[in-house]
Amino acid sequence: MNRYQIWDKESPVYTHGGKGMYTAEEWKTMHPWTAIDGVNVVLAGGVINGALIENYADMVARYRQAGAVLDTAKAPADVLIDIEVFEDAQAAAQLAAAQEAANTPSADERIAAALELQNMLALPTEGA
Amino acid sequence: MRASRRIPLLTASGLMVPALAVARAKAIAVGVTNILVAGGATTDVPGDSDTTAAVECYTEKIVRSTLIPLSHSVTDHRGAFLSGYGIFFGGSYYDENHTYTVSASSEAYSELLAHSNLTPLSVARGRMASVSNNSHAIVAGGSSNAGIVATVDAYSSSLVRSTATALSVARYIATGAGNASYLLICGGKNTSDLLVATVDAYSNTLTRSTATALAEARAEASGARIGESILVAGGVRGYGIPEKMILSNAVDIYDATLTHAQHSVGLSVARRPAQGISGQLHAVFGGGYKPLGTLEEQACVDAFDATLTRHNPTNMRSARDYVAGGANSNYMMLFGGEMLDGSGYSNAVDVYNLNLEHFATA
Repeated sequence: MNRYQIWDKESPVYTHGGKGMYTAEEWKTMHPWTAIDGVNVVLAGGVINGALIENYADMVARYRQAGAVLDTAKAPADVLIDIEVFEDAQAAAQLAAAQEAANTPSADERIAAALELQNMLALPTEGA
Repeated sequence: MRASRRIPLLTASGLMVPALAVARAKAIAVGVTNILVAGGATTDVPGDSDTTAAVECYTEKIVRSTLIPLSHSVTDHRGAFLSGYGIFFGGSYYDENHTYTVSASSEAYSELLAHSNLTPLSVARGRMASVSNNSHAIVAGGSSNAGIVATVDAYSSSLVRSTATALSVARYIATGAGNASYLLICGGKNTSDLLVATVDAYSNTLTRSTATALAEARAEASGARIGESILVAGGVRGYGIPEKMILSNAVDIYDATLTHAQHSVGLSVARRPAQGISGQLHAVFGGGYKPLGTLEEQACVDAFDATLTRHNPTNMRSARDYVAGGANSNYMMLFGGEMLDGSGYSNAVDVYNLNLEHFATA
């Protein structure tokens, strides 16, 4: 299931709150900019497609600012897939960095280990 | 550019946004007409000068003034709005002997900005949860000198304090959020320092019940209300050194009858968001720390409207953690915080109008 989709401006929109379901006309009345010709409207993928709304152009700008390389010569639906790929890659990179951090002792942990070693070395040698 | 959202609610011509007079993080903001910003940390070096008692007021026209300060320079305090009063509760501070202590203070500011002291909390504490509606403000749990408590202090609409049924689980750094009928205390860390998902609900008669638990046990989530929907967003679901913290992007929804759902897309970035903002048309969660996150991610703002549709307005001008948030009838505002680029504590103020157009201090 894709995370995002371009709204066809005809399908009903389902939401978590409010009435729960809005006709395309009701949705355009609630969000007048969505009725503008040529404006691509991004909704959530999945059944509750009204869980998010964003202007496609704004979304592209936002992800470019975050470092995504997006080819807007592609169809908007394909660019949304590229955004998902970027999100997944970023999440994977952050997870890997977090795992590396988890496997790397912190400054506190290194100090504690050093103190423990010092204490052990200070113990009297058995039989001495 | 966000021209797409310019519905004619407000004219978004130039708006001068004055910075906070005192740069700080962990301040608390409350308000309906005026937004009051109180207390907070001014440096992360422990000592008697690391917190502030300063209280600043932003009017409906975003004019800033300085009010009578709190009686202590506190952090880890909480706030609520009740019967026209902005109220600040408890918190922690260093006393004249440089000893760390907690406060029982309950200090109120009227609509005319007059300061008064209410009956103090029954137990001095910080890092509690607070929430209010037209019926009551409650202050729940927290960390006292004797440890983690389950105590719930309630202030009626006439500002009389009583003690309500204690939390089902003693905890701190829980999240308060409510609607017209219920005040919820969600999640937090218990006496064993374990994260909990428990949600205690207090009715307008202060009867306690247990609501459906959060989808994920977590602490330091943000709570806000839009219409009768209560949103509990983000937070920490695993602690460690900062780089090892695990953050949540979950948004739990409780409707007017406390039916629970999990928002299908949640926050755009898993993080510990700013103090949640209950605006006229949106619930807003701004900024916040994300381990190893980019500054753009940590400056992002998620806004949920009455249909609980998520919008992503322009980012905050800078990525900050521990940001105070408050709203009046025209604006939703984010105050101060700790700069996530490591440049210290901030006096910046970000403002969003009802169209979610963004303004900020220069």
